[in-house]
Amino acid sequence: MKPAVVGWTAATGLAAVGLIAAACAPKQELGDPLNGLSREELARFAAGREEFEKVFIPGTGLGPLFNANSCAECHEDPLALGTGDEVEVHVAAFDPATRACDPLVDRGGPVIQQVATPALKAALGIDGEPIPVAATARAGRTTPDIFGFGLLDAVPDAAIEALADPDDRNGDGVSGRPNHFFDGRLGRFGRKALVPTLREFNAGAFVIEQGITNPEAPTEESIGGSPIPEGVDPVAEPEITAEAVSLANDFVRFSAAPAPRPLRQVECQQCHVPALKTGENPVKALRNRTVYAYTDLLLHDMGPELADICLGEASPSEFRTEPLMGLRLATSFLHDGRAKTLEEAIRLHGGEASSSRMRFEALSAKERESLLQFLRSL
Amino acid sequence: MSRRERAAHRATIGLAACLAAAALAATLAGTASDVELKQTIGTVTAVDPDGRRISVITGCGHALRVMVFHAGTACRIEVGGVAAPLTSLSRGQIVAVRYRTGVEPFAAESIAAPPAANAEGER
Repeated sequence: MKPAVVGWTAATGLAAVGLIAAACAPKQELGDPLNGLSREELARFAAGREEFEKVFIPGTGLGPLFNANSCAECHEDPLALGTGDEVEVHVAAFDPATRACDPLVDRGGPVIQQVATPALKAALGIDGEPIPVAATARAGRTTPDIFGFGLLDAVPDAAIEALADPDDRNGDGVSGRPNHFFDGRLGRFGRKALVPTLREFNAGAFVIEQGITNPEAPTEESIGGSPIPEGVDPVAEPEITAEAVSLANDFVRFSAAPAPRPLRQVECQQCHVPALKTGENPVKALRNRTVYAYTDLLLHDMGPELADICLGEASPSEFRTEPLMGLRLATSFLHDGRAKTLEEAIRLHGGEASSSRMRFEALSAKERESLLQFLRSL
Repeated sequence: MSRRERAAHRATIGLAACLAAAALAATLAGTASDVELKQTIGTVTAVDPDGRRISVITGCGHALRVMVFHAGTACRIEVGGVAAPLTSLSRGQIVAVRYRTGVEPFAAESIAAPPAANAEGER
């Protein structure tokens, strides 16, 4: 039996057991906390929502450059932790000859802030951060829903590494590989899978998205690499406490994943692996749980048509397999929202995903609609 | 190393990376009057043998930062556990830097790198 088939069979079995267990668990609505949280964890989830929804103004630390004034400004649809219509701009410089990737940190990258506070605008006359001249590519980044991302955080590195097949030894044309952060740890969060943990992602996001410094990410973003002018950022660093970051993180971490739907075999499971299992975890509700995420959290080459920026070890055309849990909430598709329908998104899959795209195109109209209906149910 | 230990290790390194960035910020802001000994792990982005400086990219999530260190002659540099010159370090290599805060660029006390197999490439 081919390894991919063994993997699918195992995943199906695991998923079936998990779905039976899920069916026996209390019914959860979108936005609910995980089942099995302690009273204290539930209290932190509730308090964390307030931090997540807190609206900042310049007088409380917003900016001087930012993309949003609250976590929930972007993650808002249909409720906090959901999707949003904002499209961010990320940049990098990639040298094809050496394959060296420069995220242009000393010139304002990789995340460009598109809004300036009134004080910064008055000082410099800019509406947002300029795009670095050295950028070889710019990327659009939509806001994904993040329900259940604590479960992705709790998947052991070894489980992700076990799915990697960088040299395509099983000959299926798919060769996923992990990205790594700059200190060598395995990455999993972000469209390029650079960030190792949910907490780091969130602590960093306070700064790069809102200009809110905190003890773990205490430096304001530069303005295209230049320092912030005197007097435009009146709040001393750090602008929020570590506890505020922890609470916001717990709101994300303790959120339940969108309810799983019955699994079916699709032609995409080599990358969109239906189920992952969490490992040991101090939080019982996150320990040894199955998450129907439909991702392997690995990088795959999606072909030149979708290529944009590099990041860490990810080349311009490599992207992390997007989790499909919560797909029913999406109103645009792919990393930059260029696809307005699911079918269009599938038809734009290239590179390693070309064979899956061709299998989709070979389906009858009825079969295609059946698959699309299934995907819309996730 | 058990799964639990690996998870704890992953979280510890993440916290260390973030706290290293915190030290950088405190110094840049001029609020750190006391010199502290810190450590960060990151990827080399540049080596200046003449100025005895090394630049390392690290950060917290997507809030990435480049830290510049002065590797004076007293700085211990090891590659794969063996003493090595500054010129043995190169772009793309992961290094652990122990340094003193307070004076910019930070003074590196030691720089340790694994064997140079991971230098250059897609970083």
